[in-house]
Amino acid sequence: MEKRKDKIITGIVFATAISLFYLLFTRLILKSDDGNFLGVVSKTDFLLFEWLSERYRTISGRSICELLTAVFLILPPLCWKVLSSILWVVFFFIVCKLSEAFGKSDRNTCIFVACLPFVVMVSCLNPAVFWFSGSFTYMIPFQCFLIACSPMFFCLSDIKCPPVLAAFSCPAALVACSQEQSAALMVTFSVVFLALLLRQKKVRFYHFLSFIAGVTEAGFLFSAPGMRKRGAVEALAFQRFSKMSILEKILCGVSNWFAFEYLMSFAVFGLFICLLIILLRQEEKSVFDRRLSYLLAVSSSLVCFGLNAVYVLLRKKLPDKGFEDAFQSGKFHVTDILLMSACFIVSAEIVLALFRLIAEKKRIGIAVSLCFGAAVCSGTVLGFSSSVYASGQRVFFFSEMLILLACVILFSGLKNDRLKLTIRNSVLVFAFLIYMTECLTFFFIETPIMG
Amino acid sequence: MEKHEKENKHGRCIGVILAVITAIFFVLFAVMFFLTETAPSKLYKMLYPENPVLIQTGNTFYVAPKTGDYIVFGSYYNQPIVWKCILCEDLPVLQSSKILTFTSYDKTSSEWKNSSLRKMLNTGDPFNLNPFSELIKGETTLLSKNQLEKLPAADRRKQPTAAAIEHCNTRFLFVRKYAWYWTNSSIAGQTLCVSAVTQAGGFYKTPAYDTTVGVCPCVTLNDKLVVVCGGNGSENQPYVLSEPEKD
Repeated sequence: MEKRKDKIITGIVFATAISLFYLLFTRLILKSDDGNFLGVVSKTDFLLFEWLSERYRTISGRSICELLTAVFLILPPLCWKVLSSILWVVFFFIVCKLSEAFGKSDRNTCIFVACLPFVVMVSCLNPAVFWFSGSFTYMIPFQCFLIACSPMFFCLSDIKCPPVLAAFSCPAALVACSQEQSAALMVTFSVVFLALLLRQKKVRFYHFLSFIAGVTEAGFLFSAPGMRKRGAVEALAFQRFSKMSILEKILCGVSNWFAFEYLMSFAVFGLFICLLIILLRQEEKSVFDRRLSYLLAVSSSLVCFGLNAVYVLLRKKLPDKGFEDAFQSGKFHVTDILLMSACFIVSAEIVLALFRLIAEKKRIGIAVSLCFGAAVCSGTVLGFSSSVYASGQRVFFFSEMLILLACVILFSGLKNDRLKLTIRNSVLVFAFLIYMTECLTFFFIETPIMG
Repeated sequence: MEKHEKENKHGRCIGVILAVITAIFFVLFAVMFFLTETAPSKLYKMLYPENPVLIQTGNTFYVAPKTGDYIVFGSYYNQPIVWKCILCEDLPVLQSSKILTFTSYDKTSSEWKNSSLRKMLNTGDPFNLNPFSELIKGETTLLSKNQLEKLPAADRRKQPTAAAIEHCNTRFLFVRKYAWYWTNSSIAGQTLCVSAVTQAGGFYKTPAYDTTVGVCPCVTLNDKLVVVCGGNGSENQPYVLSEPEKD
C-alpha cells in the first residue's frame, strides 16, 4: 500500500513537472520544419491524403508520423502539449512496472525513472522531445514502441497488464512502426517476446494483433518509393557513400554512435557504466569480476575524458565532426583510428561485463544486454543511410532511451543500501538542474540547442 | 530505525540542494529578464563588438561603385545606413550591409506586392532615404532568392545593428552573431511562408507573421556614377553619398 502511494505521489510530481514544462515553455519553432509544415497545412487547396500520398511517393514512408504532424498542426498547439505530457506519464508507469520484474519497484526506483527524460543529452533531447516536428518522429514512436511491447513483456514476467494498455497496443504498434529505427526495434523485440511467449504457452490474441499490425506497417514503411528517392538526393551530399563497402558502412555507423554515446553523452553513458560496475561488484564472486570492474572504470573514464580531450586539443574539433570528415573524405587521421580503437576496447569490456552479469544474475543480465545491444544497433544502422550525418544528434534518441532502460533494470537489481540512495540523489539533482536550465533556454532563446 | 534516520538526513540534504538550484534559477531568470527588457543591444555589443565605421566628408568626387564597395546614405531610427554593392551588372544594386530591423513580412499573406513590409520600407518613416530618393531607381525592396543565390553563403550572412536589437519586440536574447532576414520570394503554392536567409547563409522558409526575422532593404541606383564626398568604399570607411543638388 505504502509502495503504491509512493509511486502515485512521485507520478503526480513528475506529471506536474513535465506538463508544466510543455505548457509553459515549449512552442512551435517557426524557423524549422514546424514553420514549413505550417505553411503546407495552411494552403487553401491543402488535401491531407493527397499530400501524404505525394510524400510517400517522393520523400518518405513515415505516413502515420506525418499524418499525426499535420493533424496536430491543424489543432491548437495545446493538444500536442497534452498528448506529449500524457505519453511521458504513461512512460513513467510502464517503466516503473517493468522494473518490478527485476527487483523491488520502490520509491527510489520511481524517483529514478521520473528523472530519466532529463538525463538524455540536451542536444538530443530538445529536437527529439520538445520540438513539435521532431517529437512525431522520435519521442512519440518510442513511447508507442513501449506501449506496444510492454503487454508482451508483462505477460512474460507474470505482471498484471492493465487492460487499457493491451487495448492500445495495436494502434501503438502502427505508430511505432512508422519510423525506421522504432520499426526495427518493435519488430525485433516483438519476435523475441512472441517466441518466448509461445514457448511458455502464454501468448494472447492481442499480442499477435499488435505484432501483425507492426509488421504490416513496417513493410509499408520500408517499401516506400520516396525513401529511395530521398536517399538518392541525400547521397549527393555524401558522395563517397555509394563507394563504401558494407564493413565500412557499419564502421561509419558505429563510429558515429561512439562519438555521441561515449564521447558526448557523458551523463547517460556514465550512469550506465557506474550501475554496471556497482552491480558487478555487489555480485562479485571472483577476482576476475573485481579486476574487470576496475578495468572498465579506468578505461571508460580514460576514453570519455582523457582521450576525448586530447583529440579535441589536437584536432580542434569534436570527435563526431572529425569522424564525419574522415568518412566523407576517406582520409583517416591517426587520432581518428586511435580513438575509434579505444572505443572498441571499452565496448569489448562492456560485453565481457555483461557476460559476467548474465552468469551471475541471468534475468537482469539478459535484459540489460538486450537493451544495450538494441541501443548499439539503433545507432549503427544509421551507417546504412546516406543521411547518417544529416539529422544531427536527435537520431540517437532511441539509443539514449534504451541505455536508460538498461540503467533502470540495473538500478532495480541493486541492493537497497546507501550507494543506491546516492545514485538516486545524484540523478535527481542532475535532472533537476537540466530541467531548470531547459526552462531558461526555452524561455529566452528563440531556437534552443537543437543538436 | 537508524536506517530511517539516515534516509531522512539524505532527504533533507537533497531538499536543500534542490532549493538552492531553484533559488539560482529564479535569480538567473530575473537577471536575464532584466537584460532582455532593458539592455539587449548592450548585451549583443558585448558578445559581438562592432567595427567602428568612419564617416568622413570632404571634397566631392565621382565614383562608379563596384561589387563589394560600401556606401553610406539614408537613415533608420536616425542611424546612418551603410549599404553594400552586391550586384553591378547594369546599374549598382545595393543591400544594407546589416539587418536594420526585425519585423514580420505581413500578418496574413506571403505576397510581396501587398505586404506590410513593402509599405513600411516605402513610406519614409522610420526608414528614411531623403534627400537621396531621387538617386534611386524604383522603390525600396528586398532581394529575391534568385538574386541572393548568386552570392557565396558566407556573404549572405547578416549581422543586426545595435539599433535593430534595441527596437526588436521580442523577449528572446540574441546569442547568435548572424540572424535570419527576409527575401521577397514567397514559396510556390503557399500563402503563408516566405523564403528567408538563415544565420548560416542558407535558405529556409518561415511564416510571414514571424516577427523575429530581420530586414535588409535593397535599392538600385539610377546611374552607374555617383557623387560622393568622402570615404574609400571599404567597410570601415564607406563612400559618403553626396546630397543631390537642388535645381
